Amino acid sequence: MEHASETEIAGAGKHVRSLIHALNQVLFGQEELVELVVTGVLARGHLLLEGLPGLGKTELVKGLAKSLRLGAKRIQFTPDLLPGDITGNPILKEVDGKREFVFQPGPLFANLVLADEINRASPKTQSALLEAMQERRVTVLGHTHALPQPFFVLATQNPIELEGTYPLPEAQLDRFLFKIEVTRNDVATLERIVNQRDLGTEPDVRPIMDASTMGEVLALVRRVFLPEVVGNYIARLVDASHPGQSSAASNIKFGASPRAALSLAAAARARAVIAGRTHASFEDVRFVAPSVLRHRIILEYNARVEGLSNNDLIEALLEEVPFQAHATPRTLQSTAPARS
Amino acid sequence: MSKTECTHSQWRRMARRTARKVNLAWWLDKLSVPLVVAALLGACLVLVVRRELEVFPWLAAGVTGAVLFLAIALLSWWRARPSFESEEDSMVRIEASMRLRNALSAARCGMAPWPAPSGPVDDGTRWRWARLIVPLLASAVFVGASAFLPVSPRSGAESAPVEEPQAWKDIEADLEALDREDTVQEQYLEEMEERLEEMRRKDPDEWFSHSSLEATDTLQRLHRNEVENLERNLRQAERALRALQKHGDQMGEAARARLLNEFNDALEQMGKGKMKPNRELLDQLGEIDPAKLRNLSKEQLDQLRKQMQKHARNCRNCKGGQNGEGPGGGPGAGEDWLDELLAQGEDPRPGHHGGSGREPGPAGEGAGREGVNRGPGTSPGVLGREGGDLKTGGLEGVESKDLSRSLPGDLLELRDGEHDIDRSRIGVRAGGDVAGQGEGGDRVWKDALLPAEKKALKEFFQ
Repeated sequence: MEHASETEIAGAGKHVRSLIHALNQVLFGQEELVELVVTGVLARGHLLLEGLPGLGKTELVKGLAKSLRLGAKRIQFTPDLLPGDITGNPILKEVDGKREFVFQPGPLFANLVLADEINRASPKTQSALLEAMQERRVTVLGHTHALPQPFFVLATQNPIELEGTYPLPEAQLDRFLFKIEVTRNDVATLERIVNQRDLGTEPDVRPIMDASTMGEVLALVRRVFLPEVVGNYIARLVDASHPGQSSAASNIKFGASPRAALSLAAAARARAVIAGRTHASFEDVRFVAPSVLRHRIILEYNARVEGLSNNDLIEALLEEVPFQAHATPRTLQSTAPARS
Repeated sequence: MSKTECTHSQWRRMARRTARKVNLAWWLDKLSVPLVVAALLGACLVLVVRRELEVFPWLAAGVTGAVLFLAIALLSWWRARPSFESEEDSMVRIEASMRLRNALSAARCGMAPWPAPSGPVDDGTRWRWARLIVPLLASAVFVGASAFLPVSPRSGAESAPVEEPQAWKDIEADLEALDREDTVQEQYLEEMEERLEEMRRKDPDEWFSHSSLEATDTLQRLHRNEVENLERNLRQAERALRALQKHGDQMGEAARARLLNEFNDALEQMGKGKMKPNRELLDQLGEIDPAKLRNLSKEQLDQLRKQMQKHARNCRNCKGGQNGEGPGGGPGAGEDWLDELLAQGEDPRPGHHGGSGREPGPAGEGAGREGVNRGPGTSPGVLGREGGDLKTGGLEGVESKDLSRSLPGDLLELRDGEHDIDRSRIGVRAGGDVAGQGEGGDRVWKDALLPAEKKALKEFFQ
């Protein structure tokens, strides 16, 4: 496979940075969130956004869809939502004098699907989304229907509503590339929002890329060079997340899967494109690691009782696993900075 | 060389330098523990060898130490080798430390240009000097201590002959002196020499064993007794002879007979003892008839008496006995006493000689104030100045004059008391019988009286 050249990266990077800039005009004060969302999209991954209501998650998805000129659909998940409600149902139709079942696509058939409050849907409905996210196709009554390309699911969930919710199973969680925590804004951002936004009006977003350009960028991301040492670092990081492999993992019951390693590699490549580099780096992996691993590790009961969070363990993991594979002898002291 | 190649070679050079540094650190890390252990063991070995040998082979030890160090160094290198870094590994270490975002790795694969080095290269490591120096220093200290610690070789101590007991030397010196002065007959001297040789023939390690020291004490005691006996008999005979010579005409028959008996007794004892005076003297004494001393000239008698005094003196000077002291005190001490008594017209009544042959002499001026057989007590001033009598150990009664001022815990009175304990025997009782019926007169009042009456009677008769 021919790796991406500097020219290609420069061209794609320009589009991507424009996209990021446009989205920062939609969502104020959430630069890291926007960068992560764009990174996830470039990595062709599905994203799970967790945050309180009213932080602009839906606006972000809408703005993303407008910027990329992608078809977007929003699904409000409720406990009574059926799988057919999202995948589509065959309906009886009269065609040419004959009655036959015609598949009516559901809201899942869009480039960008915003699955609002996904944890309110029943497990049955959630599992219907599972196949779509992984296979990018839907099977109804034995017939498989391909989803449009590109296909992204941006799901949201509210961390405070615990009653009447169905926590996502680990299998479905593992299919999300990122789990991004949406934090609240500071005073300055709130002030800017108040001054520049009106309640109920959508921000004006101009398109940045069309579908074909988007397709080229997505293809280019896959051609970004991943150095062996970076691949080795990803492997050591994922391995260290398992119990007994590191001191940080002593509080982890189940570690990250190989899918997590692939996610790290894809996200690191995407970030390299954003940074305008032809190769991924240790720092890219470190930047995306919390979002990739946050929902893939399961804490021990004792750790949860003690108040440890997944973020704490990931932080410890990143501190413990060095960039280089070779250990430092005891007669030398490492002076390298811990985080980039 | 193009700029790219120049940059490449720069980075490669830095990476090689870093690799050398890290690999050296690994080698030193693996070397430290074996080096310290080997230095410690080597130091112990050197100390042991220095103790065993008089001349330590420093050259051989140095060569051996160098070879051992080389072996340890090679072994440590072998153990460290799997951890060694290559140039590429060090390049990764550098780009991670300098936050180059894997530019060097990408450039090495041709995916990106070589970045221009900006400023000094930081490989993200620095030496832990303490961990580096302490093992080397400790090893040097161990080796240096083994070389410079004073150790006396074992062979020097072993070659020194074991000193024989002092008592043997004293006895031998006495025998030599007695032989030199021809005081005693050779038979005794030979016998004692033979006994000494018998003890010397034992293993020197056993010279100071309990049994050997017991034998030495016995021999010494025997020799001392013989020397004292001979001296006493010689002096007794000499004294009797002198008295007879000087005052024989003046004294009565009884006194003369007594002196004659003394002389004969002394002569008989000298003949019976193991240590006999020399043959010539003994013969001369045997030929003398003390009753007829007029048959001998004054000079002959004086000469004989001088010989006896001389031999008695020789006996007294023997160390096998007490040093310079013998029964009877110093030379001529008894002579003055006798002369004084004779001048006063008193019968000389020498002291009674016990079976043991010891007679209490006048108190000497030596330690203990009791002469040879010093009595109890330490020599005054030996243990330092004696302190005053503090009168400790005695009980004194404490009397409180004013009881109104006494406090709890004050000792008001001491009294010797004894509990009234009924010490009468308590025998087996039958039903109705009184216990402890007593015997004889006790039985009368012990059987029929009340306890109070018994106590009153008991106190009355005490």
